[in-house]
Amino acid sequence: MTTTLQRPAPTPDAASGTTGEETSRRRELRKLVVLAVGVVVSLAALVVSVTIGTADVGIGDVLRSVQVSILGGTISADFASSYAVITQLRLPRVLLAFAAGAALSVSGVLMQGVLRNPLVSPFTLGVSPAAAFGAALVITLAGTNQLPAWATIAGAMVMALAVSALVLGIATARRMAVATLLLLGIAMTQIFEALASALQFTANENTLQAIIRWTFGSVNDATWNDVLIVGIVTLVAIPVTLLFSKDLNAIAFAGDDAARSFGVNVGPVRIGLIALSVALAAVVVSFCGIIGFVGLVGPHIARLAIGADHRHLLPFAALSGGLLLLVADAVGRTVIAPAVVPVGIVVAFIGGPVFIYLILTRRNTLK
Amino acid sequence: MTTTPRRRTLLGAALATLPVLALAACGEVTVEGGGETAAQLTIVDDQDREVVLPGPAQRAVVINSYANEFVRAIGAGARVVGVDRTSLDRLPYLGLAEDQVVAEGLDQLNYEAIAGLEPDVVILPRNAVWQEAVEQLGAFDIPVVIATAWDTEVVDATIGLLGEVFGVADGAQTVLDFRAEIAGELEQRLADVEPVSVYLETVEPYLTTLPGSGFHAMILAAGGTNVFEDASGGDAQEELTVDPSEVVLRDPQFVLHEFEPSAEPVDRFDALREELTARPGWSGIAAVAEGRIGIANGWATSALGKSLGALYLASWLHPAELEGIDPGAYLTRWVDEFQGAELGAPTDYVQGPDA
Amino acid sequence: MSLSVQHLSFSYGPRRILEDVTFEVAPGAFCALLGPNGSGKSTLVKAIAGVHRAKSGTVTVEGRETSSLGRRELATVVGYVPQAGDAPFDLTVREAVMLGRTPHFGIAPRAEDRAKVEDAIARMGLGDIAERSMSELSGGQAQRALIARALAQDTRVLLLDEPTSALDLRYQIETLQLVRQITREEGISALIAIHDLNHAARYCDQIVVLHGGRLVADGSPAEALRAPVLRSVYEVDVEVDAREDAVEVRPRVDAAGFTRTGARLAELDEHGGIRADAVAAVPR
Repeated sequence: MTTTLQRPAPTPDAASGTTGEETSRRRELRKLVVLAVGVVVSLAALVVSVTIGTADVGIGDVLRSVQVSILGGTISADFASSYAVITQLRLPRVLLAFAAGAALSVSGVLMQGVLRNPLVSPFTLGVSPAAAFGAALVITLAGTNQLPAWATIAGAMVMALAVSALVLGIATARRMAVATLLLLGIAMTQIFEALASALQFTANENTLQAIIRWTFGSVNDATWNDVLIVGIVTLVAIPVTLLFSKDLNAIAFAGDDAARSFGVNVGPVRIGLIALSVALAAVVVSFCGIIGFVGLVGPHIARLAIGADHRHLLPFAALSGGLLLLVADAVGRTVIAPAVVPVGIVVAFIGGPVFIYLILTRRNTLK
Repeated sequence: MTTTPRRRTLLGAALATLPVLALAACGEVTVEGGGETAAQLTIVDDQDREVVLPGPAQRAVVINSYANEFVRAIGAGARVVGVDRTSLDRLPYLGLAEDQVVAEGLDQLNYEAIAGLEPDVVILPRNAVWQEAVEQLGAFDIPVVIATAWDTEVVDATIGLLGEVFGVADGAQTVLDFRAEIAGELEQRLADVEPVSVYLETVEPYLTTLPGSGFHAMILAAGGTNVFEDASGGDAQEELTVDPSEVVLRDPQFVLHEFEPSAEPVDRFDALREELTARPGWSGIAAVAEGRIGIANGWATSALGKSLGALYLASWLHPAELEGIDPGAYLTRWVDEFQGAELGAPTDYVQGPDA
Repeated sequence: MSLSVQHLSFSYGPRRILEDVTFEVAPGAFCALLGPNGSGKSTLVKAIAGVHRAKSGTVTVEGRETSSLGRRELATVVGYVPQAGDAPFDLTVREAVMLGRTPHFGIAPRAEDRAKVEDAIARMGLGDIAERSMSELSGGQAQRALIARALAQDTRVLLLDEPTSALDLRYQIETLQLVRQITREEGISALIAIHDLNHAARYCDQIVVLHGGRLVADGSPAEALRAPVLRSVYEVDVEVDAREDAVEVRPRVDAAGFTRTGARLAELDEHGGIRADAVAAVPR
């Protein structure tokens, strides 16, 4: 090794003929291209999945429906059914699936970065089951499932934040050891699943269905209202996370001490990003029920495609998570049509094996 | 040269889609040749909702196997165009095809498929996701009527409701008369009997029923008492899994096990009888030792709000008082006249102590 | 003075880790921080780096008190090189070095940041492996990358927390020489917490010794490394060979080839000779 400390003029690398700066810039460009491709693929997938389903609907019908609903117009009585299918059933569910997948994936990225562990997700830390229980509890106490949306969201969010505070509090005392986090997550999941079962036991017919409904994710009841709320929350959250991507990079890659030495206010940033992550997961659970694996697999796929730098990872993870759930919903609607398999179950079938693969190919052992 | 302006435009683009989304609802959409105004029919359903139908339903999607049995019984069976999976499994005689199944269970309804069948009405029990269905089907102007056929306490009201929906009031009346006939016989003959204690089990071993459930009412109607009438803590269906030794302690004088409803005969009678008698400690129950056990297919005994079940049980608890009444004949009438199906033999479905 | 520490004290809960530590490091000087485990070396380094906030006392860098600086500003003045830790994610060397620019840019790195990163990579000789993943590097390469990261941070003071503990001899020497060259060429002051007394003596201009949270020696290697002090600090019988060009510390063996440690140091008199009434050494 040569101790070359003098500042050499940027010499082209003998092998590739490019300077370091050029390589760096080229990589950056490549990542932006990947991101752009992701956006294009997502849009295409969205359009295609609107055409999938039991009712026969083509792309032309879709475009016409969108045009008519925005600009106004008349439609024939024959088309009215397709129009209703497209605008009231398919578009909401497809958009909700995408938005929910994006939110869960971003939530996973935040949690993995802050906790410096690529195997955690809102699901593995018990946040999702807790959120589901919170929503179910609100419904049970109210005795009806005709509650305004904010009530169940609030229930979900309060319980989710409480559980994450508990899990992180305990884990911090054990220096965030991987084993502690995962075990705590398992414990929380078991506890809240049991609590949810207990709720079912005491529920009457009105609330029972609503409670059971939380235990697996579904977008079968998607309405435009749901899409708006989840969509807006996600669209607002992503730019906010980008603002902190630099800090997240420092914490995730360099560790707490080094991050502090870079000027990152580690404590508040960590709490803030965890809260944001939990909030995203809680909102999704409030509208869709528990959907596992997306928060784990979405970020992983994104890292493979675009690298670990959070500036690019965060937006791309939103796309990969959205696509994953979109595909899962399309599969759920077609595989045993006309029956509908809930999206949470389909994504578990896909995500489970992928998760196992991740564990097997992990380079570092779990410390 | 830097990526900041590029990302700013990305952010800007993302935020800009928001007003577009809002705009998406702006267009005024009218349908050509709007619906003809037909005779209006207003009914009040199981959840006290006022539902307006254009007229008696000619095409209906009916969810829940008991509801389908009722619809068939009142004579509107031919008008059912879509059902749930359970109904198709339990009642193969409905004569419907796979592609007319619109739901696997009560909570994942395929609204597209329902809309595709162009029904005049969708009938759901109250424990299905009816609020969601009302909203989703509202986009297609398909009305939803809540009718809870499995709830034995409102069987008469449910049958009447279905009669209104399909405009077959006399068909409904015939069913109600049949039910009243059975109830009348039982009331008259069992007026002064000593109740006999009964332990009832449904589907799962040790899963018994408590006051508030239709099974409990059935036991009372049959001149019996429920050995677990003082128990509490049942689930939403007032069913409770009990400790096997409790059953032994309470020493019922009769044991009834009803298994999953199935129109296709299922021969589990011997197997179940053996399993029951072999249960640890249960030889201490006189009823088990002396063979006072009834095994029944739920399709038979839970039909018509469990009227048939009450009849069968009464014939076993009070054979003297029920002299001259053949429950099998009533079952045959139910199946032939009201379900329009072929009944093999009543003993394929219900076997009492003398079997 | 580039780095001046005045009456620095630090407690962790009820435990006093640092007690009234005072010393200075001149610009361009390479200072070694020695002391046994538990003496507070790591804590002192972190306190100067701003990772811990000191309870009392001041740290002044080029005339400015660090407590008056915001977190980010402090990060542009003081650089911290930790021990190479685990990397749960796949990061290229270039990306890792870019982390050092964190206090300088807002949301995204600018051309200026990229230039500094390339600079640091070139100076550390990492050009060939700049696109490799950090997890693929050897111990020495990873440490170089961390130093490159600190260089990219462009600070006036460099703090290194036992960077050589887990390295082979070769990489230990190379790291020390590297840092020495940086201090000489940039005029940067460097403070390195280190175990190896002889390496410190060979490559550093200044040595401070910490014992139980207190400073017990401060000066050039010849001045700071004195046998009596070292004996009480390390509880090992050592002798110091201060020659013209180097200072060397060795464990002292008696006639039986035994080195006294711990309680058996009591057998030595105040001049370092063996007491007459000491029991004949029996190697244990």
